[in-house]
Amino acid sequence: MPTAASATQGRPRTSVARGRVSRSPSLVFVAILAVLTAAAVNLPLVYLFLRAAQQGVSGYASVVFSTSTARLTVRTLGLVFGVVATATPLAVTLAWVVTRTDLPGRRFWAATAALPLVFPSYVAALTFVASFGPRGYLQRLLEDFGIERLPDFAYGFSGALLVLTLYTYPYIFLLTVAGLRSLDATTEEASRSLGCGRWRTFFSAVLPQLLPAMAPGALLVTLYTLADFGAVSIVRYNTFTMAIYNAYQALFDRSIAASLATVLVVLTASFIVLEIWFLSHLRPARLGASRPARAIPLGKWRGPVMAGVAGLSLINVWVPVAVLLSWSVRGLGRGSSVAEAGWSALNSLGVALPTAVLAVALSLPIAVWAVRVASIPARVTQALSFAGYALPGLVVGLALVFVTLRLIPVLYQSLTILTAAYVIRFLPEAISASRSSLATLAPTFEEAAKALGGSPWRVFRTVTLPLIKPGLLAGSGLVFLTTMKELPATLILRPTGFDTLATVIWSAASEGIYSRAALPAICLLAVSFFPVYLLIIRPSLRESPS
Amino acid sequence: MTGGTVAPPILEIEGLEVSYGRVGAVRQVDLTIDGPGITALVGPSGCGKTTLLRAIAGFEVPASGSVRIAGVTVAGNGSWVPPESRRVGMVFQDGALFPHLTVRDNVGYGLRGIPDAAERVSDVLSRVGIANLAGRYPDQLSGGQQQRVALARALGPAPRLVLLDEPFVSLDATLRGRVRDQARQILEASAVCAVLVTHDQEEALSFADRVAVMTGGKIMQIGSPEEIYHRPVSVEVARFIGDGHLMPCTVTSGRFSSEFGEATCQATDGPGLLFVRPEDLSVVRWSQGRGVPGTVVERRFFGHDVLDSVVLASGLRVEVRSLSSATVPVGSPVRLTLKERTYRVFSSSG
Repeated sequence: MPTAASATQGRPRTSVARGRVSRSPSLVFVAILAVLTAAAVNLPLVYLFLRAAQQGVSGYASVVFSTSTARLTVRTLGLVFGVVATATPLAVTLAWVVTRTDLPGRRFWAATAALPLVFPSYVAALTFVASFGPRGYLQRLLEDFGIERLPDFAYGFSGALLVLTLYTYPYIFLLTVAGLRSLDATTEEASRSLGCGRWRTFFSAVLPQLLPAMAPGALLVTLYTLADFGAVSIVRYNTFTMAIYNAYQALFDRSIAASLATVLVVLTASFIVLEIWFLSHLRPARLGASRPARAIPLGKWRGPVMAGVAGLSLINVWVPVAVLLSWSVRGLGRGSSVAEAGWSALNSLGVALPTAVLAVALSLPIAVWAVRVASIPARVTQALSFAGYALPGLVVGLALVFVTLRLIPVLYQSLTILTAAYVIRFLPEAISASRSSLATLAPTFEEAAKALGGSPWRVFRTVTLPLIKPGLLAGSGLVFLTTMKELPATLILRPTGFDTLATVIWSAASEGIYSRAALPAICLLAVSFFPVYLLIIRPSLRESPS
Repeated sequence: MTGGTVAPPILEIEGLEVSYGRVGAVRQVDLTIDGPGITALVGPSGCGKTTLLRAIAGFEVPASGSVRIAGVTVAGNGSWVPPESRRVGMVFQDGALFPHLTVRDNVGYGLRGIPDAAERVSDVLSRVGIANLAGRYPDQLSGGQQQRVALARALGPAPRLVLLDEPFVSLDATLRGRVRDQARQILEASAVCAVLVTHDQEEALSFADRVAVMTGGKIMQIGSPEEIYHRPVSVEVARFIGDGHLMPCTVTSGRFSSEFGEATCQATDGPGLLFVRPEDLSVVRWSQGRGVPGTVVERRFFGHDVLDSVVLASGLRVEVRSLSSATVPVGSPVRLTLKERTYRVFSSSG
């Protein structure tokens, strides 16, 4: 998982190696490329603030300090805190169950618990509302038992809270599993030999050591919730993203949308700063399990725990899949929906593939500079390139609208600018992948090739690139996946008539024609499954994290 | 054992069996520790010594047999007392300090809810000599300091029994000796009953009052360090503790005969094994007196003593430790003699 905090931690290099490398002219070229990329990525953000400033101080203040903005802030922050406060205990409990107990089929349940990552939030919200909303499948099922009305929890705050919790907790879950696996179990034994039972040991010896692993997951959930547009729109809970989108669509004056977007950017940035501050105050956990922790027998709890884990996956994985399948069977009768799904899938692939290649290519100079030189300018450039991490897709889209209209109107609503938006948004994922594969590659390979007389470019092409290829492929896979699922920036920036899987699902959902949304949603899940499983779930759940 | 006024032994283990994968199992172990003092469990890796220690602490569940601590059955005979209720302190291999707590909070961890906890923490910190480190976090301490904190933390709740699982193994050689001496003084001053697990026989002999040698999940011999070193009961114990040579001999009516000649011994008649430590042999110049002829082929100099490799006429190569002040030149013919009554003879058949 990419975090801005980890991005700034370069690997220590010997001063000899650093001095020799930084004098070479090819590295100057790399540095220039990196700085240009970082600048380009931040340009839209600058324009967003300029656009908001156009209306003058009083105009800006009247939007930012209005009661409606205050209400939006409360609603948005309320959702963020609600989701983090619900997802964290859920994720930690699940992680503990699949790593420390004798639950039968622990590996299977661990993978299942992470599967919600495959669902885009709008698909999740759609199936959730259809299953648990008024006149939904659950209610119709219960009517046979004489229950005519269900409490309406699928919409509004409770709906947004449930959907986002059920589909974002895997971020915390996977990091906590990895944390628990690498934790030295002897501190738990030390705690017990000092007279603390299982519960107190967990809360006073284990949990504090898990914080460094959990906190980045909680930040990911926070950023996901702040940026989410699809789910909150479908369950009709008004947050910043919805307000910005509505202001952009409905009003001729786009200053309001720009002003609201700046508030969202500031909120997001504050959470990142808070996270960096928090992590810097934590002591690293004791790692390197000397002996595997003994599985704790669940005993009479085995049945209930199994039912809980299975029930959860029923709600957030299997019921949605079943609902989508039944809708698509209904939709297959209409040929038009099949053709539409096919075309939109091709369009999605057509933008996602170039985005993945471009993002990884652009990430390389930044990563090479930051990892191999690790000077302050290199690290600052890398940190700046993580801007997309802090920018909700809607904000990136909006900012790019302002940039194109101001500088290059020809490109307004073109595939070029749409691809640019994706690259800005998902460049951090590519940088993280390139950076970690470069960081694990010992510089001695490159030094050996250089000693044999290879030019810098030849060394990079014949030694470095082949060795970091798996990491780069993983990075491009992640960018590809997130691009396929991206909704809000696509809605704003796509050329007229250009439909992707995400936009088809969105328009079908807003028109209430669910069967039209089903096929594209299944395509999206099918395309997502393999990269998510192979690139995120399986590596995170690997037994030995070496 | 059952006398009304006599305090029960601190630790009584009877017929303990712990299965633990292929190596490290414990088989039919009996062990009684009556009172204060340090007992070392020593043996090669995988001999089950750590498993035995963990069974005493309550981290391993025995398959059969029983463990009693101060007269209370904590495992076996249908009883099970979880580790947190055994009042057994434990010092782990690399300290296992809580990384998120200061030294003071680490030591106070086992004292929560006790009225005079703060005083007891500062008392044990000064006893262990780390009062000046109270505010630091574990990652700000050296390896030796961490182990002293770990010892202080284990002693904090005034346990009846302290278990030490290879606590010095991760320290570098120069530091190890010093930390070991300090730990020994602290344990003695606390008048506590301690069990040390180690694979280092030198550590066991110098640290403990009593040494139990384990191989293959069983305790082969228990005794004072002197007994273990000078009177090993079996070939395995002799091989494991210290250096030495085993060479074939024949025993007939209380005397053995071997390449080193004949002498009295207490072994049954038949083929036997003569066990000789390098310091049990003395090497003299060829011209001086009697002994087995040989040649010094190699010498290693250790300062106060030297280790000579001597090849005998039969081709057998033995090592002889002597004071470095009295040596013969390398390459010169010598004679070897057995010193009085320091050797052991084991019956091969037994």
